[in-house]
Amino acid sequence: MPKQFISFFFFFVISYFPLCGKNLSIAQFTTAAMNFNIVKDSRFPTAVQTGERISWGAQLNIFENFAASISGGLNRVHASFPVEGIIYRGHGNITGGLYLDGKIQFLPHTGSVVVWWGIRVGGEGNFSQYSLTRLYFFYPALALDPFIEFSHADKNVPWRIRLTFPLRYNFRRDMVFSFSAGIGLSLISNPFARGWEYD
Amino acid sequence: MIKRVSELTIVFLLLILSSCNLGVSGIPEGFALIYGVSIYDTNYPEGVGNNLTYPDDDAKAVAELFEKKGYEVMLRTDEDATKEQLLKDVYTLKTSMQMGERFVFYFSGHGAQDSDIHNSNSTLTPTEPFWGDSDNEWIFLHGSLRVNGIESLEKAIYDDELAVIIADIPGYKKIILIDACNSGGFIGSTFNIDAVPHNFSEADLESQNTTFKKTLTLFLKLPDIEDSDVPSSQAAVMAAAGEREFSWEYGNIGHGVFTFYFLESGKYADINGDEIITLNESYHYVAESIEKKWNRLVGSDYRFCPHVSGGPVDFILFSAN
Repeated sequence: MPKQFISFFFFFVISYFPLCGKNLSIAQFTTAAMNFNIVKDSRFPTAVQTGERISWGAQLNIFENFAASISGGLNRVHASFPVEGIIYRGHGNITGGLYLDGKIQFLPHTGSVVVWWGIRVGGEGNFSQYSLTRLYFFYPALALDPFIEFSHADKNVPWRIRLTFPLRYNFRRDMVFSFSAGIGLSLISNPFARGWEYD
Repeated sequence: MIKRVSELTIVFLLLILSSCNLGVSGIPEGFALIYGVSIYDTNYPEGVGNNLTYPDDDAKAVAELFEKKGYEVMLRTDEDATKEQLLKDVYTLKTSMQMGERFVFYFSGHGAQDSDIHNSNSTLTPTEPFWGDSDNEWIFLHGSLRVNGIESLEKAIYDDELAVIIADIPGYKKIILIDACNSGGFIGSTFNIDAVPHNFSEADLESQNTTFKKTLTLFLKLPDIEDSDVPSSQAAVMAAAGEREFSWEYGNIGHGVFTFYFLESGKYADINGDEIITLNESYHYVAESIEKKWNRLVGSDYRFCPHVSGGPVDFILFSAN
Protein backbone atom coordinates (compact mmCIF):
# COMPACT_ATOMS: atom_id res chain seq x y z
CA MET A 1 0.00 0.00 0.00
CA PRO A 2 2.70 2.60 0.89
CA LYS A 3 4.59 1.55 -2.26
CA GLN A 4 1.48 2.18 -4.37
CA PHE A 5 0.93 5.54 -2.74
CA ILE A 6 4.52 6.66 -3.37
CA SER A 7 4.30 5.53 -7.01
CA PHE A 8 1.05 7.42 -7.49
CA PHE A 9 2.49 10.50 -5.79
CA PHE A 10 5.44 10.66 -8.17
CA PHE A 11 3.34 9.77 -11.19
CA PHE A 12 1.08 12.72 -10.37
CA VAL A 13 3.94 15.13 -9.77
CA ILE A 14 5.98 14.18 -12.81
CA SER A 15 3.03 13.97 -15.20
CA TYR A 16 1.90 17.46 -14.20
CA PHE A 17 4.75 19.19 -15.98
CA PRO A 18 4.37 17.82 -19.50
CA LEU A 19 0.63 18.30 -19.22
CA CYS A 20 1.06 21.96 -18.35
CA GLY A 21 3.82 22.52 -20.84
CA LYS A 22 6.31 23.49 -18.15
CA ASN A 23 9.86 22.41 -17.50
CA LEU A 24 10.62 20.23 -14.55
CA SER A 25 12.30 22.24 -11.83
CA ILE A 26 14.15 20.08 -9.35
CA ALA A 27 16.14 21.14 -6.33
CA GLN A 28 18.04 19.13 -3.78
CA PHE A 29 18.42 19.99 -0.14
CA THR A 30 20.48 19.06 2.88
CA THR A 31 19.13 19.84 6.33
CA ALA A 32 20.72 19.74 9.75
CA ALA A 33 18.54 20.28 12.80
CA MET A 34 18.59 20.09 16.58
CA ASN A 35 15.49 19.36 18.57
CA PHE A 36 13.86 18.74 21.92
CA ASN A 37 11.61 15.75 22.32
CA ILE A 38 8.95 15.92 24.99
CA VAL A 39 7.94 12.38 25.96
CA LYS A 40 5.60 10.72 28.41
CA ASP A 41 5.16 7.12 29.41
CA SER A 42 1.86 6.27 31.12
CA ARG A 43 3.66 5.31 34.38
CA PHE A 44 6.28 8.02 34.64
CA PRO A 45 6.64 11.80 34.52
CA THR A 46 7.17 13.80 31.35
CA ALA A 47 10.80 14.27 30.32
CA VAL A 48 12.82 15.98 27.66
CA GLN A 49 15.24 14.29 25.28
CA THR A 50 17.55 16.23 23.03
CA GLY A 51 18.32 15.10 19.52
CA GLU A 52 19.76 15.96 16.18
CA ARG A 53 18.87 15.10 12.65
CA ILE A 54 20.48 15.27 9.25
CA SER A 55 18.55 14.66 6.06
CA TRP A 56 18.88 14.82 2.34
CA GLY A 57 16.11 15.22 -0.17
CA ALA A 58 14.80 16.25 -3.55
CA GLN A 59 12.18 18.87 -4.21
CA LEU A 60 9.94 19.19 -7.25
CA ASN A 61 8.48 22.65 -7.79
CA ILE A 62 4.88 22.22 -8.86
CA PHE A 63 3.45 25.72 -8.88
CA GLU A 64 5.03 29.06 -8.19
CA ASN A 65 4.60 28.69 -4.47
CA PHE A 66 4.22 24.98 -4.02
CA ALA A 67 6.58 22.04 -4.10
CA ALA A 68 6.56 18.36 -3.31
CA SER A 69 9.57 16.74 -1.75
CA ILE A 70 10.94 13.48 -0.56
CA SER A 71 13.71 13.06 1.95
CA GLY A 72 15.64 10.51 3.91
CA GLY A 73 17.85 10.99 6.91
CA LEU A 74 19.31 9.97 10.18
CA ASN A 75 17.90 11.06 13.49
CA ARG A 76 19.41 10.57 16.92
CA VAL A 77 17.47 11.02 20.16
CA HIS A 78 19.54 11.00 23.33
CA ALA A 79 18.48 9.42 26.61
CA SER A 80 16.74 11.84 28.95
CA PHE A 81 18.13 13.03 32.23
CA PRO A 82 17.06 10.90 35.21
CA VAL A 83 13.52 11.54 36.35
CA GLU A 84 12.42 9.81 39.55
CA GLY A 85 14.74 6.85 39.13
CA ILE A 86 14.21 6.26 35.43
CA ILE A 87 15.42 7.66 32.17
CA TYR A 88 13.79 7.57 28.76
CA ARG A 89 15.88 5.46 26.42
CA GLY A 90 17.81 7.06 23.61
CA HIS A 91 17.36 5.76 20.10
CA GLY A 92 18.66 6.18 16.58
CA ASN A 93 16.35 6.36 13.59
CA ILE A 94 16.47 6.00 9.87
CA THR A 95 13.80 8.37 8.66
CA GLY A 96 12.03 8.75 5.33
CA GLY A 97 9.26 11.17 4.45
CA LEU A 98 7.03 12.79 1.84
CA TYR A 99 6.15 16.48 2.10
CA LEU A 100 4.32 19.37 0.47
CA ASP A 101 5.71 22.90 0.70
CA GLY A 102 3.86 26.16 0.42
CA LYS A 103 5.49 29.57 0.64
CA ILE A 104 4.89 33.24 -0.04
CA GLN A 105 7.24 36.16 -0.38
CA PHE A 106 7.56 37.93 2.95
CA LEU A 107 7.92 41.48 1.62
CA PRO A 108 8.69 42.87 -1.82
CA HIS A 109 12.46 42.80 -1.96
CA THR A 110 14.45 45.93 -2.28
CA GLY A 111 18.00 44.54 -2.16
CA SER A 112 19.59 41.39 -3.46
CA VAL A 113 17.96 39.06 -0.92
CA VAL A 114 14.40 37.84 -1.20
CA VAL A 115 12.77 36.53 1.96
CA TRP A 116 10.03 33.94 1.87
CA TRP A 117 8.08 32.31 4.58
CA GLY A 118 6.12 29.14 4.37
CA ILE A 119 5.35 25.75 5.75
CA ARG A 120 6.21 22.17 4.91
CA VAL A 121 3.69 19.49 5.84
CA GLY A 122 4.27 15.80 5.52
CA GLY A 123 4.45 12.34 6.91
CA GLU A 124 7.47 10.36 8.00
CA GLY A 125 8.30 6.81 8.89
CA ASN A 126 11.01 6.03 11.44
CA PHE A 127 12.82 2.73 11.76
CA SER A 128 14.46 2.92 15.17
CA GLN A 129 16.85 1.09 17.43
CA TYR A 130 17.09 1.69 21.16
CA SER A 131 20.63 2.62 22.19
CA LEU A 132 22.76 -0.11 23.78
CA THR A 133 20.35 -2.83 22.70
CA ARG A 134 19.25 -4.69 19.61
CA LEU A 135 15.63 -3.73 20.13
CA TYR A 136 13.97 -2.27 17.03
CA PHE A 137 10.67 -0.51 16.51
CA PHE A 138 8.78 1.57 13.98
CA TYR A 139 6.72 4.71 14.32
CA PRO A 140 5.25 7.24 11.90
CA ALA A 141 5.29 10.96 12.53
CA LEU A 142 3.36 13.98 11.37
CA ALA A 143 5.75 16.72 10.24
CA LEU A 144 4.98 20.42 10.29
CA ASP A 145 7.93 22.67 9.47
CA PRO A 146 7.40 26.42 9.38
CA PHE A 147 10.33 28.03 7.59
CA ILE A 148 11.91 31.26 6.45
CA GLU A 149 13.76 31.02 3.13
CA PHE A 150 16.37 33.39 1.78
CA SER A 151 17.06 33.50 -1.95
CA HIS A 152 19.02 35.80 -4.22
CA ALA A 153 17.08 38.25 -6.32
CA ASP A 154 19.00 36.96 -9.32
CA LYS A 155 17.12 33.77 -10.17
CA ASN A 156 20.19 32.27 -11.78
CA VAL A 157 21.93 31.93 -8.42
CA PRO A 158 21.40 28.25 -7.72
CA TRP A 159 21.53 28.40 -3.89
CA ARG A 160 18.99 29.13 -1.21
CA ILE A 161 19.10 28.94 2.56
CA ARG A 162 16.14 27.93 4.64
CA LEU A 163 15.76 28.34 8.39
CA THR A 164 13.29 25.73 9.58
CA PHE A 165 11.47 25.12 12.85
CA PRO A 166 10.63 21.42 12.60
CA LEU A 167 7.70 20.18 14.66
CA ARG A 168 6.91 16.49 14.90
CA TYR A 169 4.11 14.55 16.49
CA ASN A 170 5.40 11.01 16.83
CA PHE A 171 2.82 8.26 16.84
CA ARG A 172 4.57 6.06 19.41
CA ARG A 173 2.33 3.23 20.54
CA ASP A 174 4.35 2.72 23.69
CA MET A 175 3.96 6.29 24.94
CA VAL A 176 1.17 8.60 25.96
CA PHE A 177 2.72 11.25 23.74
CA SER A 178 5.94 12.12 21.98
CA PHE A 179 6.37 15.53 20.48
CA SER A 180 9.44 17.30 19.19
CA ALA A 181 10.32 20.86 18.28
CA GLY A 182 13.59 22.26 17.04
CA ILE A 183 15.52 24.48 14.75
CA GLY A 184 17.36 23.60 11.56
CA LEU A 185 19.15 24.95 8.57
CA SER A 186 18.64 23.77 4.99
CA LEU A 187 20.84 24.39 2.03
CA ILE A 188 18.79 24.13 -1.15
CA SER A 189 20.46 23.94 -4.52
CA ASN A 190 19.39 23.53 -8.10
CA PRO A 191 21.61 20.76 -9.45
CA PHE A 192 21.10 21.81 -13.05
CA ALA A 193 22.00 25.46 -12.35
CA ARG A 194 19.24 26.70 -14.62
CA GLY A 195 17.77 29.05 -12.11
CA TRP A 196 14.44 28.75 -10.39
CA GLU A 197 11.64 28.02 -12.78
CA TYR A 198 8.77 29.53 -10.92
CA ASP A 199 10.01 32.46 -8.86
CA MET B 1 9.77 41.97 16.97
CA ILE B 2 13.12 40.15 17.21
CA LYS B 3 13.28 40.92 20.94
CA ARG B 4 9.81 39.47 21.40
CA VAL B 5 10.76 36.29 19.54
CA SER B 6 13.90 35.95 21.68
CA GLU B 7 11.88 36.36 24.85
CA LEU B 8 9.37 33.76 23.73
CA THR B 9 12.16 31.36 22.78
CA ILE B 10 13.79 31.72 26.20
CA VAL B 11 10.45 31.17 27.96
CA PHE B 12 9.83 28.08 25.82
CA LEU B 13 13.26 26.64 26.60
CA LEU B 14 12.86 27.34 30.32
CA LEU B 15 9.48 25.64 30.28
CA ILE B 16 10.75 22.46 28.72
CA LEU B 17 13.89 22.39 30.82
CA SER B 18 11.85 22.82 33.98
CA SER B 19 9.84 19.74 33.08
CA CYS B 20 12.88 17.53 33.49
CA ASN B 21 14.95 16.83 36.54
CA LEU B 22 18.40 17.94 35.50
CA GLY B 23 20.20 16.89 38.64
CA VAL B 24 20.54 13.42 40.06
CA SER B 25 19.01 14.23 43.38
CA GLY B 26 20.04 11.02 45.09
CA ILE B 27 19.11 7.59 43.85
CA PRO B 28 15.89 6.39 45.49
CA GLU B 29 15.92 3.59 48.02
CA GLY B 30 15.41 0.09 46.72
CA PHE B 31 14.61 -3.42 47.90
CA ALA B 32 16.27 -6.51 46.49
CA LEU B 33 15.16 -10.11 46.75
CA ILE B 34 18.18 -12.23 45.89
CA TYR B 35 17.68 -15.95 45.33
CA GLY B 36 20.29 -18.53 44.38
CA VAL B 37 19.93 -22.29 44.31
CA SER B 38 22.93 -24.56 43.91
CA ILE B 39 21.67 -27.49 45.97
CA TYR B 40 18.37 -28.91 44.73
CA ASP B 41 18.86 -32.33 46.28
CA THR B 42 20.42 -32.17 49.72
CA ASN B 43 21.50 -35.81 49.50
CA TYR B 44 24.12 -34.86 46.96
CA PRO B 45 26.93 -32.30 46.90
CA GLU B 46 27.21 -29.30 44.59
CA GLY B 47 27.88 -30.08 40.96
CA VAL B 48 26.28 -33.53 40.93
CA GLY B 49 23.28 -34.16 38.68
CA ASN B 50 20.87 -31.22 38.89
CA ASN B 51 22.85 -29.68 41.72
CA LEU B 52 24.75 -26.70 40.38
CA THR B 53 27.98 -25.26 41.78
CA TYR B 54 27.85 -21.46 41.75
CA PRO B 55 24.31 -20.01 42.02
CA ASP B 56 24.61 -19.65 45.81
CA ASP B 57 27.90 -17.80 45.31
CA ASP B 58 26.25 -15.70 42.60
CA ALA B 59 23.44 -14.75 44.96
CA LYS B 60 25.81 -13.86 47.80
CA ALA B 61 27.95 -11.67 45.55
CA VAL B 62 24.92 -9.94 44.00
CA ALA B 63 23.45 -9.38 47.48
CA GLU B 64 26.74 -7.81 48.59
CA LEU B 65 26.72 -5.56 45.52
CA PHE B 66 23.18 -4.32 46.09
CA GLU B 67 23.80 -3.84 49.83
CA LYS B 68 26.86 -1.77 49.01
CA LYS B 69 24.70 0.32 46.69
CA GLY B 70 22.23 1.09 49.46
CA TYR B 71 19.52 -1.47 48.83
CA GLU B 72 17.72 -3.32 51.56
CA VAL B 73 18.50 -6.92 50.65
CA MET B 74 16.80 -10.22 51.43
CA LEU B 75 19.18 -13.04 50.51
CA ARG B 76 17.97 -16.64 50.19
CA THR B 77 20.16 -19.50 49.08
CA ASP B 78 19.69 -23.24 48.64
CA GLU B 79 17.21 -24.66 51.21
CA ASP B 80 15.98 -21.14 52.06
CA ALA B 81 15.30 -20.27 48.45
CA THR B 82 11.89 -21.87 48.10
CA LYS B 83 8.74 -20.71 46.36
CA GLU B 84 6.98 -20.55 49.72
CA GLN B 85 9.70 -18.23 51.03
CA LEU B 86 9.49 -16.07 47.91
CA LEU B 87 5.76 -15.62 48.40
CA LYS B 88 6.36 -14.64 52.05
CA ASP B 89 9.07 -12.16 51.05
CA VAL B 90 6.85 -10.61 48.40
CA TYR B 91 4.07 -10.27 50.97
CA THR B 92 6.50 -8.53 53.35
CA LEU B 93 7.54 -6.10 50.61
CA LYS B 94 3.95 -5.55 49.57
CA THR B 95 3.21 -4.16 53.01
CA SER B 96 6.46 -2.25 53.50
CA MET B 97 7.38 -0.78 50.11
CA GLN B 98 6.23 2.62 48.88
CA MET B 99 5.12 3.43 45.34
CA GLY B 100 8.27 5.28 44.28
CA GLU B 101 10.77 2.70 45.50
CA ARG B 102 12.72 0.32 43.34
CA PHE B 103 12.36 -3.43 43.51
CA VAL B 104 14.91 -5.92 42.20
CA PHE B 105 14.41 -9.66 42.01
CA TYR B 106 17.49 -11.68 41.16
CA PHE B 107 17.53 -15.42 40.60
CA SER B 108 20.39 -17.77 39.81
CA GLY B 109 19.73 -21.46 39.31
CA HIS B 110 18.10 -23.83 36.87
CA GLY B 111 15.67 -22.70 34.21
CA ALA B 112 13.83 -24.59 31.48
CA GLN B 113 11.13 -24.47 28.84
CA ASP B 114 7.95 -26.54 28.82
CA SER B 115 9.36 -28.53 25.94
CA ASP B 116 12.39 -29.55 28.00
CA ILE B 117 10.22 -30.41 30.96
CA HIS B 118 7.93 -32.62 28.92
CA ASN B 119 10.92 -34.06 27.12
CA SER B 120 9.43 -33.26 23.73
CA ASN B 121 10.19 -30.94 20.86
CA SER B 122 9.43 -27.25 21.20
CA THR B 123 5.79 -26.36 20.80
CA LEU B 124 6.80 -23.31 18.75
CA THR B 125 5.64 -23.74 15.19
CA PRO B 126 6.19 -21.69 12.03
CA THR B 127 2.58 -20.48 12.20
CA GLU B 128 3.09 -18.91 15.59
CA PRO B 129 3.18 -15.07 15.56
CA PHE B 130 6.77 -13.86 15.75
CA TRP B 131 6.10 -11.90 18.91
CA GLY B 132 4.52 -14.84 20.63
CA ASP B 133 5.70 -17.51 22.94
CA SER B 134 3.46 -20.48 23.39
CA ASP B 135 5.99 -22.18 25.62
CA ASN B 136 6.23 -21.42 29.30
CA GLU B 137 9.64 -20.90 30.81
CA TRP B 138 10.39 -21.89 34.37
CA ILE B 139 12.81 -21.10 37.15
CA PHE B 140 13.42 -23.87 39.63
CA LEU B 141 13.48 -22.97 43.30
CA HIS B 142 14.63 -25.34 46.01
CA GLY B 143 12.35 -28.36 46.32
CA SER B 144 11.31 -28.38 42.69
CA LEU B 145 14.10 -30.64 41.38
CA ARG B 146 15.80 -33.77 42.60
CA VAL B 147 19.24 -34.88 41.53
CA ASN B 148 18.05 -36.57 38.35
CA GLY B 149 14.67 -35.04 37.52
CA ILE B 150 11.71 -32.93 38.54
CA GLU B 151 10.50 -33.27 42.10
CA SER B 152 7.51 -30.92 41.97
CA LEU B 153 6.57 -28.32 39.38
CA GLU B 154 4.34 -26.75 42.02
CA LYS B 155 7.52 -25.57 43.70
CA ALA B 156 8.91 -23.98 40.56
CA ILE B 157 7.69 -20.72 39.02
CA TYR B 158 6.76 -20.14 35.39
CA ASP B 159 6.91 -16.82 33.54
CA ASP B 160 3.26 -15.74 33.73
CA GLU B 161 3.15 -16.76 37.37
CA LEU B 162 6.16 -14.59 38.24
CA ALA B 163 4.36 -11.64 36.60
CA VAL B 164 1.36 -12.26 38.85
CA ILE B 165 3.52 -12.63 41.97
CA ILE B 166 5.40 -9.37 41.52
CA ALA B 167 2.25 -7.52 40.50
CA ASP B 168 1.49 -7.37 44.24
CA ILE B 169 4.54 -5.22 44.87
CA PRO B 170 3.69 -1.52 44.78
CA GLY B 171 5.19 0.84 42.24
CA TYR B 172 6.41 0.65 38.67
CA LYS B 173 10.16 0.46 39.12
CA LYS B 174 10.60 -3.30 39.11
CA ILE B 175 13.63 -5.06 37.72
CA ILE B 176 14.07 -8.80 37.28
CA LEU B 177 17.51 -10.32 36.72
CA ILE B 178 17.64 -14.01 35.88
CA ASP B 179 20.76 -16.09 35.44
CA ALA B 180 19.20 -19.31 34.24
CA CYS B 181 18.76 -21.31 31.05
CA ASN B 182 15.88 -20.25 28.77
CA SER B 183 15.32 -17.14 30.90
CA GLY B 184 14.73 -14.92 27.86
CA GLY B 185 11.27 -16.44 27.77
CA PHE B 186 10.36 -14.40 30.85
CA ILE B 187 10.51 -11.23 28.76
CA GLY B 188 7.01 -10.28 27.71
CA SER B 189 5.96 -9.11 24.27
CA THR B 190 6.41 -5.41 23.67
CA PHE B 191 6.23 -2.88 20.88
CA ASN B 192 9.82 -3.77 19.99
CA ILE B 193 11.45 -6.52 17.99
CA ASP B 194 14.41 -8.11 19.74
CA ALA B 195 16.95 -8.88 17.03
CA VAL B 196 19.00 -11.09 19.33
CA PRO B 197 17.94 -14.59 18.31
CA HIS B 198 16.28 -16.92 20.78
CA ASN B 199 19.10 -19.33 20.16
CA PHE B 200 22.30 -17.38 19.64
CA SER B 201 24.35 -20.36 18.59
CA GLU B 202 21.93 -21.14 15.77
CA ALA B 203 21.25 -17.56 14.67
CA ASP B 204 18.48 -17.51 12.13
CA LEU B 205 19.82 -15.16 9.48
CA GLU B 206 16.54 -14.99 7.64
CA SER B 207 14.74 -13.74 10.70
CA GLN B 208 17.48 -11.14 11.23
CA ASN B 209 16.96 -9.80 7.75
CA THR B 210 13.24 -9.25 8.24
CA THR B 211 13.55 -7.02 11.28
CA PHE B 212 12.23 -3.94 9.46
CA LYS B 213 9.19 -5.76 8.16
CA LYS B 214 8.52 -7.13 11.62
CA THR B 215 8.66 -3.71 13.27
CA LEU B 216 6.18 -2.38 10.73
CA THR B 217 3.85 -5.32 11.23
CA LEU B 218 4.12 -4.94 14.97
CA PHE B 219 3.13 -1.28 14.74
CA LEU B 220 0.14 -1.99 12.52
CA LYS B 221 -1.08 -5.15 14.19
CA LEU B 222 -0.31 -5.15 17.84
CA PRO B 223 -0.50 -8.30 19.89
CA ASP B 224 -2.01 -8.26 23.34
CA ILE B 225 1.14 -7.31 25.18
CA GLU B 226 -0.34 -7.93 28.61
CA ASP B 227 -1.14 -11.47 27.63
CA SER B 228 1.87 -13.50 28.65
CA ASP B 229 5.26 -13.56 30.35
CA VAL B 230 6.40 -10.45 32.25
CA PRO B 231 5.25 -7.39 30.27
CA SER B 232 7.64 -4.44 30.19
CA SER B 233 4.87 -2.26 31.58
CA GLN B 234 5.10 -4.29 34.77
CA ALA B 235 8.83 -5.01 35.12
CA ALA B 236 12.01 -4.77 33.12
CA VAL B 237 13.66 -8.14 32.71
CA MET B 238 17.31 -8.81 31.97
CA ALA B 239 17.82 -12.47 31.21
CA ALA B 240 21.05 -14.39 30.83
CA ALA B 241 20.00 -16.41 27.81
CA GLY B 242 17.44 -16.63 25.03
CA GLU B 243 14.30 -18.64 25.50
CA ARG B 244 15.80 -21.50 23.49
CA GLU B 245 19.34 -21.57 24.84
CA PHE B 246 21.36 -22.38 27.91
CA SER B 247 23.38 -20.10 30.15
CA TRP B 248 26.51 -21.39 31.80
CA GLU B 249 28.53 -21.36 34.99
CA TYR B 250 32.30 -21.66 34.89
CA GLY B 251 34.79 -22.82 37.51
CA ASN B 252 37.60 -20.45 36.58
CA ILE B 253 35.50 -17.42 37.42
CA GLY B 254 33.52 -19.06 40.24
CA HIS B 255 30.17 -17.73 39.03
CA GLY B 256 27.58 -17.99 36.35
CA VAL B 257 29.05 -16.22 33.31
CA PHE B 258 26.17 -13.72 33.15
CA THR B 259 26.39 -12.92 36.85
CA PHE B 260 30.18 -12.57 36.71
CA TYR B 261 29.93 -9.74 34.19
CA PHE B 262 26.87 -8.26 35.86
CA LEU B 263 28.94 -7.92 39.04
CA GLU B 264 31.44 -5.87 37.06
CA SER B 265 28.73 -3.49 35.83
CA GLY B 266 29.30 -0.99 38.61
CA LYS B 267 32.92 -0.56 37.54
CA TYR B 268 32.76 -0.72 33.78
CA ALA B 269 29.23 -0.17 32.48
CA ASP B 270 28.95 3.59 32.93
CA ILE B 271 29.08 4.31 29.21
CA ASN B 272 27.98 7.95 29.31
CA GLY B 273 30.00 8.82 32.42
CA ASP B 274 27.05 10.12 34.43
CA GLU B 275 28.03 7.96 37.43
CA ILE B 276 24.80 6.03 37.19
CA ILE B 277 24.42 2.49 35.94
CA THR B 278 21.13 1.85 34.21
CA LEU B 279 19.71 -1.52 33.27
CA ASN B 280 20.47 -0.76 29.60
CA GLU B 281 24.09 0.10 30.35
CA SER B 282 24.51 -3.02 32.43
CA TYR B 283 22.89 -5.11 29.69
CA HIS B 284 25.17 -3.62 27.07
CA TYR B 285 28.28 -4.30 29.15
CA VAL B 286 27.25 -7.86 30.04
CA ALA B 287 26.23 -8.77 26.48
CA GLU B 288 29.43 -7.30 24.99
CA SER B 289 31.60 -9.02 27.58
CA ILE B 290 29.95 -12.39 27.03
CA GLU B 291 30.36 -11.99 23.28
CA LYS B 292 34.02 -10.96 23.47
CA LYS B 293 35.27 -12.96 26.44
CA TRP B 294 33.12 -16.08 26.35
CA ASN B 295 31.43 -16.74 23.02
CA ARG B 296 34.62 -16.28 21.02
CA LEU B 297 36.48 -18.80 23.16
CA VAL B 298 33.95 -21.59 23.46
CA GLY B 299 32.32 -24.00 21.07
CA SER B 300 29.04 -23.10 19.40
CA ASP B 301 27.03 -25.25 21.82
CA TYR B 302 28.11 -23.04 24.71
CA ARG B 303 27.42 -19.65 23.14
CA PHE B 304 24.61 -17.54 24.44
CA CYS B 305 23.50 -13.92 24.55
CA PRO B 306 21.51 -12.04 27.19
CA HIS B 307 18.20 -10.36 26.42
CA VAL B 308 16.50 -7.32 27.86
CA SER B 309 12.93 -6.00 27.93
CA GLY B 310 11.81 -3.36 25.48
CA GLY B 311 9.80 -0.22 26.13
CA PRO B 312 10.68 3.46 26.22
CA VAL B 313 11.96 3.51 29.79
CA ASP B 314 15.29 2.47 31.26
CA PHE B 315 15.72 1.96 35.00
CA ILE B 316 18.54 3.19 37.21
CA LEU B 317 20.14 0.20 38.92
CA PHE B 318 22.74 1.83 41.14
CA SER B 319 25.54 4.36 41.22
CA ALA B 320 28.80 3.64 39.42
CA ASN B 321 31.82 2.68 41.51
